[in-house]
Amino acid sequence: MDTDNNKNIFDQLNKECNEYSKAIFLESCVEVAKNGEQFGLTTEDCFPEVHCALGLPYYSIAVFGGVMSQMPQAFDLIDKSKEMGVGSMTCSGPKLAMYMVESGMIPKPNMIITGNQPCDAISALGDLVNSYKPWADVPKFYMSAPHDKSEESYVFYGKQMRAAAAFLEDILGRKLDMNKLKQISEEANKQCQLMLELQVLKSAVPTPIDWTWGRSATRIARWGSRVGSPVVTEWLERLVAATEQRVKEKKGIDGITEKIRFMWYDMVPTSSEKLFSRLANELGAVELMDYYNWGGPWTPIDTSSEEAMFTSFAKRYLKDTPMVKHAMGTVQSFTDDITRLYKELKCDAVVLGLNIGHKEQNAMYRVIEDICRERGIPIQMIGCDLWDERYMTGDQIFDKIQMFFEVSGLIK
Amino acid sequence: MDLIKNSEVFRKLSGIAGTINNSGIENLKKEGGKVAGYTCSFVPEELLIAAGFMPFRIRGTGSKSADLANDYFQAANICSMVRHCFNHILTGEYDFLDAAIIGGGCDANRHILDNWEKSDAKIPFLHRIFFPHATGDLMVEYFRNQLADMKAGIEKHFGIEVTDEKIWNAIKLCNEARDLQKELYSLRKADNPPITGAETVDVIVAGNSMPKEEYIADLKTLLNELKNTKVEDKNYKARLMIIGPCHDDTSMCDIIEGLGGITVTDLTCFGAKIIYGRVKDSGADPLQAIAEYQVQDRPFCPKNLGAHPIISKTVFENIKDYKVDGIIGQNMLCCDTWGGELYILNKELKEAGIPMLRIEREYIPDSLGQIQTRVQAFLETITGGTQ
Ligand code: SF4
Ligand code: SF4
Ligand code: SF4
Repeated sequence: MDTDNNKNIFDQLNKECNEYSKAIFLESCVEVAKNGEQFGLTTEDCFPEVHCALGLPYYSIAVFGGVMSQMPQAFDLIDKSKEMGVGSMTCSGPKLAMYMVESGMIPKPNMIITGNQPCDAISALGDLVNSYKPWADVPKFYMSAPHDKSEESYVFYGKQMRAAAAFLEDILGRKLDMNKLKQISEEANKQCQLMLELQVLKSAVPTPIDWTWGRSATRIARWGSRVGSPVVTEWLERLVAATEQRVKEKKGIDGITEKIRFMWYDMVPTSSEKLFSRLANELGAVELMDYYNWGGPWTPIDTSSEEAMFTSFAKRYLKDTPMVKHAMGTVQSFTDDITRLYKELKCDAVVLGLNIGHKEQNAMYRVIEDICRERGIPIQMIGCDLWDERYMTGDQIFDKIQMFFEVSGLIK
Repeated sequence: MDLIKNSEVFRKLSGIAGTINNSGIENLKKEGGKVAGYTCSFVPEELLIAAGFMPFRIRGTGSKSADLANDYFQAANICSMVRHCFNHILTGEYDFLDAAIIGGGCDANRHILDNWEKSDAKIPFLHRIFFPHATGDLMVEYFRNQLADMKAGIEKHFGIEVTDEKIWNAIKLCNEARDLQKELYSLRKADNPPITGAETVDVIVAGNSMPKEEYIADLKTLLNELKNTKVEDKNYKARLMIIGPCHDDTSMCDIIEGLGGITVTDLTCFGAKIIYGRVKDSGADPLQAIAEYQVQDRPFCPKNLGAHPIISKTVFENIKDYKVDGIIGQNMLCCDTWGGELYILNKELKEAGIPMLRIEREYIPDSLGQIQTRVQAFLETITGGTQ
């Protein structure tokens, strides 16, 4: 494969990904509503395989908030969300989503599933959605995600997922086709495996592709309506093959001389496009992993029985899904994961975003930091607002990271 | 209201509420008794009592600074209630505890356990209990299993057996305390209640800070005194209700009452929430009874999806029963779930024409002046500035 051909493949993959990703955006939801199609809303999507098997357009309000935070009108809407009078220190992403609900930006769904996953802020978003008067007559289902990581808890959550699926079946007036669910789950297993392969390839020195590819893979393989679709598998296969080719050719990210490898252990901030490019271009610092750019491992869905399927959906969601596993985790889940990824990806340093809204990170940051340092992992907390760049601009974050790299001896 | 100030039993309870360690605990410990701390009202005192502990609801009373805790919790983004409590843990205020059960109620509270484990503050037994965040049979079953785990952990560590009989007895004891506390609340329905809001906070907080039998005896005495008091007529500016999470100090009531209003009831996590209803006191399985009570009957915390309609219904009932003129909705800064809940309630109350003042505050505010000004303005809004 020559260089031009390789570049063309990535361009093509990017184009397709942008197209597929549209299915998770508010515009798609508005369109579906306009067409009179039934659709569901959730505060956080815990079982993409299920609504895909049901053929149900199903949207995450949290994702709407996250995506909106990157739009030109974001600052204005964030300011309005702050004036609403919900918790003033509540995470800006869900708060923005609250404003989107209250201001009527989101069409009225046919069914709503809310839950406490992954955090108190999303739980508060759920409370608001459930009491939103114009949606008072929409059927609602509440879920309770357990914080403990035990087999018993996975079974408990799996049962809730099954009950939630039954709730959707009731409203749709059609049964979940278990064979289709099985097929989708098996395809999703392949996709998760490919995401893991991509991650392994990214651990090559120099890393062959930039951070946005992991994010693209997550967007289409784990979010929205294409989970378990062969189209996505094929897309991932092409991405893995093209990346493998670059590894074989020992090619790093185009135009970047890799000097520092780091992990941003959080969701990426809205300034990430500019921030990570600047870090790569000016410092040769490549970002290898974050909560979007996440390769797994993912628990395979056991398709041997209906119960096994739902229990493994629960496991995959609670144990493996970034942000969920983190917000609902313990110090150990953070430090074990950071240690593993730091080694596997051959990182030089770890940056913890420490979003001001994340209560769990803010409640454990010092212990996480201490344990990582004891293990010889250079780590730096940032303390930004992931969804509102005005709190700490990309340039300010850049300066903090640069100083951290200097202090850690990574920049000579 | 001078009667209560002169009441010996009230002074005792108020003293207990105003400190952490107290002579009752010291005496208990001298006699070989054990004390278990806990951090969220979903942790059932019944089970701790059945296991032979005196339950103590962890609070930050008297804390002057959260500096030590801020080395563990990021100060700007974590509820100051949690930080002040943890500061007390670090400074040794809670060294008398033999066990602590950390509730998984909110995202900040839950991590007291992680930090406690890593700190130098040692405690013989530390356990985290998780709660369901919705209601329903499945949730009850989950919580029942959590209770069974907690019980097994305690039994193993302390080499004891917590029999069903002991749990049923503890349930009866706690129900008795709740019944008496409800009786106390009922007295506040009167036009001239014999007890103020601030005094009630002290009496209720003491209930989670001393041996239950002793508390029951004291409360009976106090109720007797209050019922036999002739209360002089007072022309209160307004009768208020406080709603929100942890409310274990009298500062808000002191402000209201210092300005000529009175707090007649509340829906808070150290108040009406914990005295609500009764746990079923007989049947096949006492853990199931506790789980049903906590998850189905009393989900008065917005951490539970679906709790809002119950909260809202209770608030409107209380407004009627206690002749409430206005609501103070207060939550700690950084409290996400209550921040959202109070926003929802505020809208509903506004529609119903009931004034509500929203206050986001620190657990131990630097200055109460600003809050005082806002409460004053609120009282004037209610009275139309006529009083
Ligand atoms: S970024 Fe953190 S606080 Fe915000 S919604 Fe996600 S988990 Fe919750
Ligand atoms: S307000 Fe809710 S989560 Fe907080 S301590 Fe009370 S019951 Fe627990
Ligand atoms: S006030 Fe809110 S954030 Fe603080 S401990 Fe209570 S429930 Fe948690």
